[in-house]
Amino acid sequence: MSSPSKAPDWLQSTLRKPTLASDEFRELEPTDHMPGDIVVVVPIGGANACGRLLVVVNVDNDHFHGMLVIAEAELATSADAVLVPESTGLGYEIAVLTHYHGPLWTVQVQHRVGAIEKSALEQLERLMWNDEPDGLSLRRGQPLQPEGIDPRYPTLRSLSLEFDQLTDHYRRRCHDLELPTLDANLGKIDVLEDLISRRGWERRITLVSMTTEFRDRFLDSLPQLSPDQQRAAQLIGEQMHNLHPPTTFTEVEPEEDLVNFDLMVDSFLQEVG
Amino acid sequence: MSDQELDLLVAEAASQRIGVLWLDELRTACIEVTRRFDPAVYAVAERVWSVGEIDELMQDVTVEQLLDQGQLDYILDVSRSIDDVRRLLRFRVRRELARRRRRTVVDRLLARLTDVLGGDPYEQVPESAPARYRPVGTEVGIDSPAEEGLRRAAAAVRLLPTSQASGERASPVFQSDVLAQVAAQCFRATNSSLSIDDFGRILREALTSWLPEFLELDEGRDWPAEQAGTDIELEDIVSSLMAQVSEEDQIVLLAKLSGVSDTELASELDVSRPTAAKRKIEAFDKLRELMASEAGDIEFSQTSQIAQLLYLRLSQAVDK
Repeated sequence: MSSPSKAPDWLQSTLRKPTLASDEFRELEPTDHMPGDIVVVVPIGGANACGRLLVVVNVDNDHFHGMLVIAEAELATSADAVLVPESTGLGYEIAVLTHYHGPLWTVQVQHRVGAIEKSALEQLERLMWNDEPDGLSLRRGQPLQPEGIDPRYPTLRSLSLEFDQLTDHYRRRCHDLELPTLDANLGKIDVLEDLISRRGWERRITLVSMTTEFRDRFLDSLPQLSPDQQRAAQLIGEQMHNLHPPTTFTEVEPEEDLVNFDLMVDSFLQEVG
Repeated sequence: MSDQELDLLVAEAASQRIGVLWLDELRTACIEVTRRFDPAVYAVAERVWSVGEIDELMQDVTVEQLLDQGQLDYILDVSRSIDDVRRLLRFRVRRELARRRRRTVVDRLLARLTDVLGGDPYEQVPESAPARYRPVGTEVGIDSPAEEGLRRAAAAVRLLPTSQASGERASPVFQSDVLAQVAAQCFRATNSSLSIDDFGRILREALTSWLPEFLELDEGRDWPAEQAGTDIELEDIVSSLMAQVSEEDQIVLLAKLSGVSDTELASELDVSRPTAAKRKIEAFDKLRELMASEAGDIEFSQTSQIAQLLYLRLSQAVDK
């Protein structure tokens, strides 16, 4: 590549116009995040992924809730807002897709590039949950028509997948996705003995929630295990202390035949593996 | 190394915004993208992608997209590798080609609309300069329409059937009967007199919302060939659908397809909002059932043509 030199004549006059982008909010790898910030984020593990813009809706220690921002205003629907550069500090118009929102880790933020006023954020939040709120001053896009008619569907769907990739890591690590519930019958002595003899069960047991029914059965079975088995099963006891009992779970019929417990253990290991 | 190339572009942008490095990248993007686009339609003066035409396109992308629209800043904000920069530049080139196409199409439509507005059932508002038009028998004055009215008009006309983009330069996108509906829908949605400039704004916004279809063309696909006229089979299907959709459902479907909110629909039907929402769901469910029985064996690509044609027939029916 050649080194930078003078721009051609036709470009000179345009280059004299000032950019609309403001440096006021710009910061590389910011440590503090505020609602209304516009940030560039990347997926966890996405070393080569192109950055994506988000509006920060709210912040909580190591994570935040964000809404997807794009630079193609024509994709905005009537549930999305189109914001001009003067209201964001960015050098370009953006569309905030209010139905594309979710949680991310703050470490996913590469840099902050702009910010919006609190009143604008409040309106965006109203659009998140209500397609037809009253009293909005934000400009919005064209209503989305049914699939097969509106040509924006394929692009919006692909943006949805991209957004899922951004939030996927947080969702998997946190309670946003329901953890599988441990079958209460796994607490019975014969099933429990089989379970703790399988390789890798210790790691997987940390990825499930436990019901009070399982706890009762486990505590009944624990004294019946050998000392070595009891030491191994202690991990389950610790996990029980770490979890709050869920409010709902699938009941297992008490009279259910447990002859096929091998299958049950396999199924559990597959589910959480 | 890719990152070094990105670093050089970032440094050039910091010192002079756009210089020879960016122009080199842009020229390459223009050459790559234009291979898939017919110069007879998308070039400015020549019928081939000559060096001069590529230069002209490069200048348009630079001035319109990268600088005036600030997309250079966007590219710099989100790119993490030279590949990101190149992909986004190619996207901008496609977008500029779409803009050229839209501009040509809108100019052509406005010329034809002037003829439509010059005869029945429209008249020029007295003492309006530049000329403003209104349907004969209405009392609207020379006031310009509200922004919301223009937006609603764009939503109302964007579903009217268009002929497919063609290899013929500046071919009309609306056939004559559809163009008459474009005028009718615009007056209805704005409830105001309209100038040619107003129609220009409405059409630009309506056609902008179709840009994604154009931009979705990947580099391995060519622009689809023109489809000649409306398929008679599709006309039959739509006639059959119209015969089976009740009058009230026709009103509901037309309103929702033209972008009317549930609240506005409720007001039009003089019912509560939940009732309007329920009727909307029922009307679309009925339409889906009818579509499945009448057009179940139709190709997926034709369903949007059916929907557009149905929308035209609904507009015409409600006019009567």
